[in-house]
Amino acid sequence: MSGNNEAELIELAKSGDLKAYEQLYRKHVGKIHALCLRLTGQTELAEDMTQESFIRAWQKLGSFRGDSAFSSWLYRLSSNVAIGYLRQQNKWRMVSFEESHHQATIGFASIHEEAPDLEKTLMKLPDQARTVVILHEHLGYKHAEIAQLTGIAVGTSKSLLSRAKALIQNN
Amino acid sequence: MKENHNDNTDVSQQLAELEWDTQPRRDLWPDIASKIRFADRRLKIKQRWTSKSVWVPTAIAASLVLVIGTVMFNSVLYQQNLANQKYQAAMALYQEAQLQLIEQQHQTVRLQLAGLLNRQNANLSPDFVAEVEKLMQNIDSAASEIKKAISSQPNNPNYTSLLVRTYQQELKLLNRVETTPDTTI
Repeated sequence: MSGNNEAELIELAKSGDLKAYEQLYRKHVGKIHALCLRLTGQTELAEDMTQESFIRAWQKLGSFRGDSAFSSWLYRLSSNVAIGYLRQQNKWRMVSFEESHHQATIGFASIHEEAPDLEKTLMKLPDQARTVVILHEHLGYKHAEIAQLTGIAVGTSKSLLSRAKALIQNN
Repeated sequence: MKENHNDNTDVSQQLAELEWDTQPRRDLWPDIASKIRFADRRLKIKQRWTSKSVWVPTAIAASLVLVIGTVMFNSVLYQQNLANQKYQAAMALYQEAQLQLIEQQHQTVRLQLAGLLNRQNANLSPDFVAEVEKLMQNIDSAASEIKKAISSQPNNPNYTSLLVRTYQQELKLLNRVETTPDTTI
């Protein structure tokens, strides 16, 4: 089975082969976990969201047609899962950059003292701003796509990105 | 997918330099596999019970059993109260309501059977389809004769019971068509 390429594994998983899906999980879990960790800012929640993402991906595997890379499809699905959860729990509320900076001292950044400065700055951003930065700058989403995914206005997405970038540059 | 920005373009470069592949503290796979298996089992059960092909015949069979029960009970009462005119008038009204219910159930089974035959037509042998259609005609003829008898003796529940048993044959036929996708009876 280890010789199978990704496309073969996807087809096997689509037909219900859980062993093949486990290989896909092993290959992508690190990336999905890192994304969830940065979107949620919480280690435990990130693990829950990673788990949920792979369960959801299994259920939706039939809709993956290979138009994009499997990793891109997984990223989008995981972003949906994490953002959807945070919104549902009302954790994704709009907070000011100043308020968020104070809150971050009890969050991710304080746990990882040796984390790079950019990491610490990211974690001090409000959840919405951090999400926009990750989706736009790292995953390459357009503001319209971010608006659709997160439910914020396109203008808000642009404004959050601009402020977040300025903050990152100044740190 | 990226949009053009003239300022702060190095942010994406800085982001890319971060570690974007971090393993969770524990292996999440055992939990994921277990939840997937559980969800798949629940989905299969749900699909089975939301499928019309399962619950419609089951529900009809259950209600037919109830109808047969009441018809047989009425039959006993009929024997005991044959001379009671008031009882006979009430029975006639009751029989009429029962007949309507039986007819409705029969129509549901008939539609189900016709739909199934239509959908599976390509998979079934012509002999099988012809035999099913002949049995359906026989059921219709028998039902027609019994209904005539009921008209002449509306208070006799034995005919109602006979009609239910005749329609039950159609229900059995429906089940056989469902479980015999591509062979003859």
